[in-house]
Order: sequence, then C-alpha cells, then structure tokens
Amino acid sequence: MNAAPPAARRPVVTGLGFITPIGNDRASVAAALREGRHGLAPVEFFANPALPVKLVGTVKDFDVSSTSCRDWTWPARYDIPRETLRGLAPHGVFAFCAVEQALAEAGLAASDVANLPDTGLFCASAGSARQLHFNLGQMDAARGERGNPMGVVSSICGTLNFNLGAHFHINGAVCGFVSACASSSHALGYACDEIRLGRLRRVIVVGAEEHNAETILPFAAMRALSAQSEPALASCPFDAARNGFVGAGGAVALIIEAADLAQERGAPILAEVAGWGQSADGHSMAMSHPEGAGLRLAMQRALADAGVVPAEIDYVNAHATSTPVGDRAEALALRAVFTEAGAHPRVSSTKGLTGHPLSMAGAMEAAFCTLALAEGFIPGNVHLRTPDQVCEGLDLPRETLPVAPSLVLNNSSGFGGSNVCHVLRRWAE
Amino acid sequence: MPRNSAHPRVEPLRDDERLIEDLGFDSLAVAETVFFFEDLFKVTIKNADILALHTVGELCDFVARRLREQRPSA
Repeated sequence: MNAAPPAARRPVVTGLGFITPIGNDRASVAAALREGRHGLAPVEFFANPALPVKLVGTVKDFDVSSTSCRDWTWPARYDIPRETLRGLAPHGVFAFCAVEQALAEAGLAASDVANLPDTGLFCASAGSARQLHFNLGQMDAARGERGNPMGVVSSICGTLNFNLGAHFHINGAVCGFVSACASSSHALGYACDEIRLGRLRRVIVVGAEEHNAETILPFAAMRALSAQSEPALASCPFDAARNGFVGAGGAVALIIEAADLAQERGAPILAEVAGWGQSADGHSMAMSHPEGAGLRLAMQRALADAGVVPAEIDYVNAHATSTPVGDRAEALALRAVFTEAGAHPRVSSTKGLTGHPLSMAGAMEAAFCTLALAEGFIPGNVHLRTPDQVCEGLDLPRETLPVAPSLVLNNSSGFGGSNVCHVLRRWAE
Repeated sequence: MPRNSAHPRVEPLRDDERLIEDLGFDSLAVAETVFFFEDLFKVTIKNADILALHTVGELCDFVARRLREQRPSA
C-alpha cells in the first residue's frame, strides 16, 4: 500500500449544504435517508393532464417559478442581495443557499473565502432552459431590438460559476463542468486534484439543477422518464419493473479543503476524498455502453487512485437512475469489478428517494456518501421490490442499515458516456 | 459607494441623485434599468442615449420625452 500523502495534499470534506427533494439541511436529509422517505411530488406540466410525466423530485419552501426574479421567495435564513439576485437563474437561488449553508456548517464566514488566491469554486448545472427560452422570446418579440442585460449570465451553462464566483469573491479558480449527469462529479474530482497538486487549499463544489418543465420534460421526448404516478413504482432503481427515471432539482454544495488547513482551524472533517477516476464509453450520445465497460474502467481507476482493492469497499452509491438500459449497464459493471473479485459491498441507488437531479446528482450523492461515513449508516434501495436478474451477485439492501462504512464508492454516468467515480474514506484522526 | 441593497430604501429618489456615484449603480444596473423601461413602454433606447443619462432626473426626462415622441397624441 502506498504511504499516505502529506496532510496538505489530502482533500477532505468540511461542510455540506443541501437544498434537495429530501430536505433543505443536513439533519433532514440524513433522517430521510435513514427512514426511507422520498421527496417526489405530483406535477402537471403545462397544466396538461395528457402528459405521461406525473412526478418530480421537488425542492420545498422555495418559489422560483416566475421568470422575474422579483417574484422569487426562499427561506428567510438566507439573505440574497439584489445585486446578486438579478443575475441568478432560478437554480442559482438553490445554489446560493446551499453554499451559504455549507460554509456555515464548515465554520467559515464569507470573509474566510473572499479574495484569497488559494480558494476555488467549481460548479455544474445545465443552465436554465426556462430563462433562456424566456429571454430569447423577448428578443424575438422585439425583433432583436431589446434584450435583458442579465439574459446571458442568468441562463447559460456557467450561470452558477459566473454569479457565485462574483458574489463570494473567489480568486483562486472559478470553473464550470458540462458533462450532463456526471458534471458535478467531474467538479468534485477536479477540485480534489487542485488540492492534491498543491494549487488550491480550499474549493467550493456546487451542483444544481431546475425541476421545471423546460429542464425535465425534454427527457420525456427521449422516452427516458417514468410514466408512473406512484413514487414507489416510478423511481425504483435496479428493479425488474423499472421504467424510466423521475426528474428532480435543487442544489448541493461541498466544502473541500486540504486536511492540514482543516485541522489547523479545528474544522469538522466529515470524510476524506481518497481518490477518483473517470472514463468514457465512446458508444452513444445518450445511452450507456450496454455492458457498462466505461463505468467498469472508471471504478477500477478510482479504486487504484485511492490505493484500495474491491474487497475494502463497504458501500457503493450507484448512479442507477431507474432506466432499463442504464441500471443494467451499471449492474454488469459492478459485477465485473466486485463480484468477480469475490467482493460484496452493499450497493444502493438513493435516486429511489430523490429522483434524478441531472447535473446535481454527483455532488448530491457524494454528499450522501459523506453523511453515511460521518454518521454511520448505509442507505438502502427503498423502492426495490424484485431486483432485476442482471443484479445477481450484488448485495442490494432494501432498507437503510445502521452499519458504519469506512470506504465508499460513488458512481455517476452522463450523456456521451462520461463515467466518474469517487472513493471516500471515513476520517479518523 | 452605498452597501448592498438587500433592504431597499423607502425615501423617494431625488432628481439630482447620480445613478452611479450616489446610488451605487454599476454599468449593468444602468443597463437593467434602461431595459426595464424599454420592456415596460416598448421603446428602444440606444447606447449613445444611455451615456448621456447621469441622474435620476435625466433618466425620467428622457423616458418621458421618448414616450411623447412615440405617442404624440398622449
């Protein structure tokens, strides 16, 4: 086994911020994961009952449905100044609050991250399809003669990094990642590399997405969404009867720091990011490689980067979104990496509870893995009734287990075949 | 430069207040305000016109003038 790198080069998680379908703070999210409570709500896009999409994983206690930021509401604990609000996309409000929450949890004030060349911000979202549509509609109606000056920064991919980088005065590095459902996993992986390379000492990682019609409904046109109205039948990763995913939105932020910096200031260390790996399928712009070949390689690379073998992994948080093709590919990849090596980690997909929040998935599930390590539980596959035969050999607990894992693996896969996996380790001083 | 405007002021704006120096507008905020008027009144305001507007009074006079030009009977 390799010697551990010096503390200055070990990335650790010191703060988490959650604005998710299963809760808007750490305690609520942990309780929902332990108790198996989903956050899926009925939806009727366009007020059209003919649509097959009946459920979405929604954020509660926020209203960002208007195309005018003047109408938006959010929980009173967060203060969003007008100068910042004007440039935000709707999901930017989720992200702002998630970052504020994560900083508070990490014991950091805004002044602790501002104007420092060793602090970075890496973000991921698909941008705001709604705002883009609305702004271009205004431009079209005026035949190009008028347009909202905030139109670009409040809508395109990158809106998170533009706005949050400015608001929080980030000087070290600000960057966005665009690999669909692997985006925020890429953000986390590269954030850790910045610390491991000694280029940055602290990085705020953010994944966010909207759950409105413009972001979610186009997936129905791809026949990727479940048409079920019953949550347990709609979002059931690995189940033999799975029939598509349930879209979701929100934001999650992670504060990643060099371990020595966290220790110097007495910060809570929730987990270590021990390694990560990535690969690509090179197969289809939208569908996974049928045998999960790319995900298999990404998992193997992550394990090698962390210096661990399959038998040491206690739990895998699968990407599995409840689609027939995707879940099958992942099951095969997991069998190839673990079962064939005689290893039987617990495996679950928490998307049964949350739905699939697209760009936000990687960061959210890395945060769930962090909670599992810090609080000592393994999330179950809550809506799993009859596992697909392709899962033979995989240990898929139905309920959350009061078992404290030491090493966990987090998987994400996105359009174009991007696969990104992180290994997280329980932090023991 | 005034601090952030999380809590909007309640006193009315005075005509002589300068958008940038007194009210803390940056160039984007000026553009936003202009767009607000453009969208509300369905007028087009050129960049060259905006450069000449420094105070609250000048902005209001400009918009009133444009409206009169577009709706001479009003």
